[in-house]
Formats: sequence, C-alpha cells, structure tokens
Amino acid sequence: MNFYLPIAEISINIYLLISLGIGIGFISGLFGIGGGFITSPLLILVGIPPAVAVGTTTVQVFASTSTGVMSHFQKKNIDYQISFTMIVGGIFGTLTGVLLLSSLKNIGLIDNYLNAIYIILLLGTAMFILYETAKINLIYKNKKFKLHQHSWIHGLPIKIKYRKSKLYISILAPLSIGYLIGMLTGLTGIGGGFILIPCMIYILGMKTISVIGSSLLNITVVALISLFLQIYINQNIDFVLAIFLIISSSIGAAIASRIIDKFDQENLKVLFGVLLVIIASFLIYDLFRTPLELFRINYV
Amino acid sequence: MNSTSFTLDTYNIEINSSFLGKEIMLFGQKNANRDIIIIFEGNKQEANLDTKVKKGIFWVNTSKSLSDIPSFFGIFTTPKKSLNEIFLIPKITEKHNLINNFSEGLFQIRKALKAKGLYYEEQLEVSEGNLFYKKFEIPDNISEGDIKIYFYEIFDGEILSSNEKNLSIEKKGLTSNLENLLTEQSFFYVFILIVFSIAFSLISNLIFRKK
Repeated sequence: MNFYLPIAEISINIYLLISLGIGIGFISGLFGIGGGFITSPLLILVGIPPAVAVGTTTVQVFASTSTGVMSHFQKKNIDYQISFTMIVGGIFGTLTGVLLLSSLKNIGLIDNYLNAIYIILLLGTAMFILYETAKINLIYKNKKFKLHQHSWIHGLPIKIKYRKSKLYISILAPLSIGYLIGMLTGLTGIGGGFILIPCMIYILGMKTISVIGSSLLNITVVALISLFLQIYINQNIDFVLAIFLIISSSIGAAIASRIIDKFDQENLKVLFGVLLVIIASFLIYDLFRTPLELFRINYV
Repeated sequence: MNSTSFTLDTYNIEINSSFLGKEIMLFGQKNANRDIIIIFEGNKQEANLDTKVKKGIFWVNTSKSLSDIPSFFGIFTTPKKSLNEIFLIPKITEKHNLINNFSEGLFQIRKALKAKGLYYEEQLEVSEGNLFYKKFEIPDNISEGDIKIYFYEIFDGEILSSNEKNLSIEKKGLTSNLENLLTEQSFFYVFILIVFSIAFSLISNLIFRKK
C-alpha cells in the first residue's frame, strides 16, 4: 500500500516506511542514540529527496530527545551554564548549516556533499566506538584510567567558571563545539549526540553525570531552532513523513527498551560500530557504482 | 465529434493522499490520409539538471540551473514519427522549447525527464482506419499546475488545423491543506509538529514504560 507524501512529492510504500521507522527507533533505543544520522541517509536511500530527508529527520531528532530532557530536568542532571553557552554557538551554527543546505540544494550539489559528510560521520563514529571499546578493555586490564587530560583547549582565552561541572575553561570551547554541532544539525538533520557527548567528556572535561542531560538539552533546543529555520528557509519538512517516523520510531524504541537488558553492553557497542560501517558501505558503493541514469532533473 | 478531434477520459487530476499517479486515456478520430501529432506540455518551471560525471574512481554530480522546463512533456503521433521528422515541421518545434533543436543540452533534459516518467515519445494506436487512442501514465512525481495539450493535424509536412485543450493537475484534500499550511502559515505547521512530537513521546513513554 502506497501513500503520497505531499512535500516530498512522491508516493512511498507505507509498510516500508513503518518498518524503517521501527528499525530506526529500535536501533536508537538499543544503542542509546537519537538516530538522526541513521534516519537521514536511510530516507535518502529509499528515495526521499535529500533536502526533505534532512528537514524531516530534524523533527524525529526533536521528538526523540525532548522527553529525555524533561526527565533529566527533574533529576537536576543538567549544567545549564555550559548548555546555554553551547546553544548560543548552536544558533549561529544551525543558521550556517541551513543556509549551506539551501545553497547546495540550489546549485544541485546536495547529494555529493551530504553523501561525503554521512560517510565521514558514520565511519568516524564507528572507528571511535570500536577504538574506545578496545581502549576501555585495555585500561581495565592495565588498571590505568584517566578520563580528562589537559589539552590545547585549556590554553584558550576568556576563561569562565562553570560551577556545576567545576570547570574553569575558555567560553570559546563550548561555543565552538555548539557551533559545530549546530552546523551539522542544520546541514544534515542529525542531532549530533554521538559527537557532542565525546566532545563534552574528552575536550571540555565534563563529568559523565551531567553530560547526558546537558547534551540532550543542547540537541533539543538546537533541533527546535533548526525546525523553524528549515521551514522558513528551505520549506523541506514533510508533515506526513514526520508523523509516520515519530510514531513508528517510538514503537521501535519501546521494543528495544524491553529487550536491552538481555544484551551485553560491550557487544552492543561493537555491533553498533559494525552497523555504522554497513550503512557507510552502501553510501560508498553509491559513489563507485555506475549510475543507472546519467542525467537527473530536479524542479526548484 | 468532428471529422478530426480528440478527447481525454479526464481533464482534472487530483493529487490527494492516495495519489499513485494516474492513467490517462487519450482518444479521437482523424481523417485517414492525415497525420496527427499531439503534444502534452506541462507548466514551465525552474529546475536543476544534474549530470553524473566520473572523476577518478567516483561518480559525482555536476549541476546547471535551467528555466522554462515543462513539468511534463509527451509527444504522441500517428503514424509513428521520430523527433527528427517532427524537427522538419518548424511551426511545431518553434512553439515547444523542449524539442526546439537537436542540441545535446535538450537531449539531456529529455533523457532526465524520461527517467522520471515525465517524458513520452509514443505512437498513437489506430483502429478501424480513423480512430486513434493511447493510454499513458501521469506519474506520482508530477507537479501541480496545468498541462496544455496541443493537437496538430498534418498533411504533407504542413499544419492543416490545430487545437488546444487543458489538463489540470491540482492538489486536493490533506495534500493541498498541508502544502498551504507550510507555505502560508509555516509557524503553525512547525508548532503542530512540535506539539505532536512532545505529546506522542510522552504517551509512548507512559504506555511502554517498564514496570
């Protein structure tokens, strides 16, 4: 059974869409991620125009993070000072990303750049996860564990005290990280938690307890801003597609939450890394294979 | 019907949430000695033509911006006529940009439209000497807007008579409402999505919460 998507202007098999949403939600729930960086490339692979895939993914990212923020708000696990600094950077970053997306769409190069960015993100994250898993195993064996090390970041000017996290670091560090993640959100639709969290832990030196809540607040607010920018600048959010994704991915995430305890966390991480490599392989194959059609027309 | 005329089984196509494309039946009658050329030309829009080019081992896009590209283009003839033969009738080619000349650029655009199911070059089926018909598909990726239908009766390379009709393509119902909401009340469009996102996430958390 097919359903017409009014903004994407194509019809899509409803069972494929629901399966995709449940699959994305299941993976997100199982691996504790927002899932945006899987949603966006998969939507493109099933034929959704790239700009619409990016815009609509932002809705799914917002939906999957907003309730998480509320629960961390109740648990008081959020460092508002750092979060708001990152959000300020994120606002400018999102605007840059959305404008970049608009330019790439207008000059017809959106496929090339999005493909390249997704491949780098997916493979980069996969390598990071596999490396971290191997490192933690090694550290536990050697009984040496130093999470936060001083780096060039701590030499930056305009230092500020972040009381909750007990940090004295340059405001430029969270601002820049916020800007980078915001740009990724605007350009690719992803929330960027899988980059943000390691940055907050390893670069800013935040404590793990407040990292999740603070990163969720940053992602939710930046996704919210991105939603408005996408709609006003690119008009690329498909309402029907978004609703299907929100419902089906919630179901998938719920199924995952019921069975997650049956899996070993370390094995899950490795499995996740492998999954990312598989998705990246499809995108890389797309760059190598002789295209079925050499010419393609896209109405502006 | 006059001795030479044509009609469609519908002059209105509605794009609604169950729209999967629409099969159109074109039929009419002609003088047995005359040739018929019927051209469907959709409303003209701006577009990008992406061309895949091999750079090293990768296939990458190059793109150029175009204007006045029809949303749909179909040429139906009897007897079978190639584009080369139609090029010999300048009064027709002058009127339709997409078949204006032999250039590589137009060839690429026609090929790109064909790949999307938006371009046809077909022969009309003829029965009983003077009746013709053709079934073809308007695909689900068609844009909203009118498709003009140009009918030409040809004899010895000259246009003897011509006629124009209109096929309207309109978004209706939910599809139309959502598009209007998006373009005219963008804030409200996002607001509904935000409220739905939060509400559904809360509801699903309650339903699926582990006991």
